Amino acid sequence: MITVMSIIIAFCLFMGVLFFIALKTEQGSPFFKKLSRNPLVYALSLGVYFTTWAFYGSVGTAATTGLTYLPIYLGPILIMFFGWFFLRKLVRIKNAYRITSIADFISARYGKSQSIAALVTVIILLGILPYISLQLKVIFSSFDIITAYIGKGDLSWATPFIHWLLIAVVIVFTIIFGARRLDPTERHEGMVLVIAIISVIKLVAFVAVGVFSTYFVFNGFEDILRHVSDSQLRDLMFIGGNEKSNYLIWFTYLILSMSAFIFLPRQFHVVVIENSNEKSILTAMWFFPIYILLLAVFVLPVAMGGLTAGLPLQLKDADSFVLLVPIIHGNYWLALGVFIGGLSAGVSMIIICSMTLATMVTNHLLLPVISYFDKFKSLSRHILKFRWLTIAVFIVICFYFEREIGHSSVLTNFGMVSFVAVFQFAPAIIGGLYWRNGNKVGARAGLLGGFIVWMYTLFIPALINSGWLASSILKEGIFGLSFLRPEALFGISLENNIVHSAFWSILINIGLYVMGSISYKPKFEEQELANSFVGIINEEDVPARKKMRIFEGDYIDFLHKREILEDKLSSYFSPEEASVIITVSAKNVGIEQMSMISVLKLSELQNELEKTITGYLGAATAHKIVTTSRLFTDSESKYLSEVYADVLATLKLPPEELIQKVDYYKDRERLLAAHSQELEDTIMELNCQIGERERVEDALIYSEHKHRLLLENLPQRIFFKTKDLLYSYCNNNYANDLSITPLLIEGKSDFDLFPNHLAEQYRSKDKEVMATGTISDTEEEYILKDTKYWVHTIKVPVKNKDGEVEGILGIFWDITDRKLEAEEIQQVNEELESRVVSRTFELMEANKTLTAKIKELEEIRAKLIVAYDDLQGTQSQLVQAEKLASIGQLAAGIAHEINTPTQYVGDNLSFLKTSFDDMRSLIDKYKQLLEAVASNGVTEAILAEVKKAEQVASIEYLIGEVPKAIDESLDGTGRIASIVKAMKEFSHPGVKEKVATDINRAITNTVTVARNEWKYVADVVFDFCENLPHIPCLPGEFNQVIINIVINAAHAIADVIKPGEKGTITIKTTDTGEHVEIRIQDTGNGIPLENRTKVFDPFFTTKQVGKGTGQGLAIARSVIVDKHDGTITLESEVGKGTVFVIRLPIA
Amino acid sequence: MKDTFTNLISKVMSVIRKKEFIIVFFFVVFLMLNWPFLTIADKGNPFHIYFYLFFIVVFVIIMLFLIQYSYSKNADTDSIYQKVDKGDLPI
Repeated sequence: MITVMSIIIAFCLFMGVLFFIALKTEQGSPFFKKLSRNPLVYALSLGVYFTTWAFYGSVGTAATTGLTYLPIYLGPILIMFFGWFFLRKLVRIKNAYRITSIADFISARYGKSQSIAALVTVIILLGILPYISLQLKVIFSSFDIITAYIGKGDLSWATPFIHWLLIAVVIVFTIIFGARRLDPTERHEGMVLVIAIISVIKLVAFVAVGVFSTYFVFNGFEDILRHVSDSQLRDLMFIGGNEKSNYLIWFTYLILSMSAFIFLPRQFHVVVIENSNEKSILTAMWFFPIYILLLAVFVLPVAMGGLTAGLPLQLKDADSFVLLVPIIHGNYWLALGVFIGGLSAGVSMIIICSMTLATMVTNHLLLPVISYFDKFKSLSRHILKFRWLTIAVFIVICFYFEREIGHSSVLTNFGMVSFVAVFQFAPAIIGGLYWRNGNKVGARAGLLGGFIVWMYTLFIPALINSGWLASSILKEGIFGLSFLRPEALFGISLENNIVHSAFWSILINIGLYVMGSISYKPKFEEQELANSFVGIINEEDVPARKKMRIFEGDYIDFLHKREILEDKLSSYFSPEEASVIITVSAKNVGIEQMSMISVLKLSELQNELEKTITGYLGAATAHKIVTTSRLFTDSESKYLSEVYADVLATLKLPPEELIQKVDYYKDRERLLAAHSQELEDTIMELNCQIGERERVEDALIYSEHKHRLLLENLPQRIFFKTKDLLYSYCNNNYANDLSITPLLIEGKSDFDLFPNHLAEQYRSKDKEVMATGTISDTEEEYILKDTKYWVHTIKVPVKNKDGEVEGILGIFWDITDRKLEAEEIQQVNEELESRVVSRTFELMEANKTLTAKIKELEEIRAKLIVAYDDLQGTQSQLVQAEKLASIGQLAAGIAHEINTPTQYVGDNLSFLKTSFDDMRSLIDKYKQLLEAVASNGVTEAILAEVKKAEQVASIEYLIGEVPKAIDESLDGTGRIASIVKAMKEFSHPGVKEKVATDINRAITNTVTVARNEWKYVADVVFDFCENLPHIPCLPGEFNQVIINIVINAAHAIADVIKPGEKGTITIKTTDTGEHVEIRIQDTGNGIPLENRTKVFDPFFTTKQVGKGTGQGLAIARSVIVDKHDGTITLESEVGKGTVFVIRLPIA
Repeated sequence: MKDTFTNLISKVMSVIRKKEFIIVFFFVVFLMLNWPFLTIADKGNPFHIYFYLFFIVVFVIIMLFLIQYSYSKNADTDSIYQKVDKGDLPI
């Protein structure tokens, strides 16, 4: 949460950071110094143009009158077209004449007129003082708003404290960084950098709130435009907004803003006075318009954000939209940023304005007054202190002004009033730069006329509207002359008082300027200045130069002249300062060591001195000092005139050409000055580089010291030998070993330090390193005080840039302990190796045994595999045998089933044959009888034979039995046919893939085929589900399963029934939806609990040997589970029977 | 082709940097920003004037960049200091 205290802390931090940056820059920090000279910093510093009036006020203007806020932004952009001609000219003149302010500039152009400088200062004072008060008012208002809306805490104690804190900080800042030194022509790099940073802060803050309003309050520019288009705000999008089009206002504001961008004192200061490099103008020409564009483009969105939120529309309230828009949307941190942006806009303007105004007031108002009264002349020495005092008083007056009339509308509108005030400088400055005939009479008249009209038409009405003066003047005109009404001069009302005032004031200003200039012939000196100002930029005006030297005798006592000058300057400076100024000027002229000088040199000294003190006191005062110093005696003045006459005569030049040549020399001087400035900059950069180099050298020395310390204190011994193998260096530890100092080792060889055999060894190694040029890394003996050590030595060949070895760098360290440890380790290693050999032998033996065992196991495994294969073969054979047995049993049963009908069909056929034979004999007797009847030869014998044959044939018996025999035979063949058909469907030869099968029919066929197995012990009952779906099935294998279970059921029943009894096998099918369920239930003895989990295992059987192989149910499970994805389970109760449940999936 | 383009750019730059061109261009822009040209966009759709001014400003910025570029690139014109250094101007 943001509190009042946090806002105060934010303000203090903000000012603290600015103070730090300015201080570091002024102290010569390379980074900030370099930054302050960046052209972008110059371009950004121009942003001081945008004060709180622009920061807050533009939004207010946009919200109330629409696009009329834009000319204030467009004017500075347009003036950039003349950056390279106009601004550069101003800068050059500033450099040539050491201009300190805009008042000084105008004064310098017009004969260094004191009155003009004073007049300009007064205009600025009246025009700008309320403007600064306006800044304070806006800053305080924004503080009130932000604390009222988002600050938490008691504000009553903070408000006066904040106000005075701000005033104090601004005064201190301005004095320290803007008026610390007397010479205001020196650049204030720290202050300029701070102004540039403030410009960035302003931009960021304003763009942030603009983006917030555009993209968070609205949905982009299109949304804003749609809102505006659909509302009463539509008129705002036209120039003139609610007041409709007023192009005259637009035009006037455009002109005024162009003028104000250069002629406002703060603008003139940053644009001209603080310019250190003309080329920075080129950067500003394109960069500053971009800066302006970024600011201008978001003014309307913020205004619309405030309007659509329903904020009050009065102008002074609309000004605070920038702050209120983020606040009403709850973005307090953004509001705090906006507050800082607005604060910085105001503070930067106040600092620059108060600094420039203080310079003008002291130089052009205070100093002339002091100079006028002899008794006050001693005060001239305290100009700098007066300047500080002026700054403080000026800011406090502005504060007082804000307290007194801050509530009225005067301040709110004073931005444009100030613009009109400074617009009065335009004719004098522009005319002074481009019109040689413009002179001080014209300038004075124009400035005075324009100023009076401005006062009468704008300043006084503003006071009247605030209630400070009676309104009668406004209504009736001065002295009751209605044609002089302030807002309708000469009866012409231009609707807008700014337009009205600007029109009349500039018209009268220009008129008087031109009339005054053409009616007055300037003095030679003023004309010379006019020519210089007009021609300063035009290189083509510089005539070709002939070398010319004038020899004069040195007959003037320089020391005497110096005393005169010191006496004159003592009125304005301390004796020490005056002496320094004269010495510097004499040095610049080249006479500081001379005792006698020529009159020309004295003239040069006078000019140089004037330039020097112009930087302190302004052009007018400086000129007055040197001209009233009586430096030249009458004879010297006359002689000087003669010299100039001689020059003219010698050169044979007309005066105009001479003036041109003088212009040329001045131009040359300017060039030299600029060149000198560039050289100074170069020297400064070189100094920076030298400083950098010194820092590098210091770092190197420090590094070398550090490395030396490292070498000296390393526990290792370090040495260096020359190519003659003589020591040239060793470190302390090595020297201590040898009981010498490092210095004494120089020039010694190994033979001087070690026993011969060691020295020989060392030398041999050294020679090898020298010869091969490679690094030697050895362990060697080292004898120190008759004690033998081992050392690790590294010798490095040191080569020059040609690759030749110039010596050896050696380092060695004691490894005796390590060596002993190594020996111990060696012994331990040997023991370990011995153990390893022994263990290895044992392991090899064990390995052999293990290998034999593995071989044995491999053989067993091979046998087991063979046995397993045999077993599998056996099982397969058993399964096959089971199948064969089953088939055999089935075939026997079928044979039996077929045999019975076959038998009685055969018997019947035999009976029919015998009967047929008897019938044929009888038929033969009947044929004989028929023949006898036909021939009437029937005899008794014949009849007797017929009767006998009938008796033999038993004809009555045959007639009754033959049909029965035939019926029985037909029944028998029918049964055989049905058995054969069932057998055929049961076997399904050749079907190896699943086919849709009628399960009920398959079961019926299977039970029929197996009938011989169950018919003696049980009856089979079918309980089939009608409409049972056909399911995919391997019919042959399924029938095998059914037959196995049915046979097992018959066997189970056979075990429990008594002779003459039969059990029941019930076969039931059901459709469960997903499966076909087949339940085969018997009335046998059931399966004991312990066997129920085993019955499906292969080879498990409880039957007697020879009656079963134990494969039946194993096959059944394999077929149902593995081949049909079904299930087979059993439910059994001992003594009651068993139910096998088969479930086969339908799909 | 490249030479032609370079020559064209060079010619454009030499025109842009002329004082006369800049003055004329300034007055053209100044007129575009004032009556009667403003009335072209200052009616009908209320946003025309906003975009009209925006595009003029962007165009002006581009031209200003080209103008300063023509000066910063042409040492013969802007650097009197360099003339002095070379001895083209007597000291």
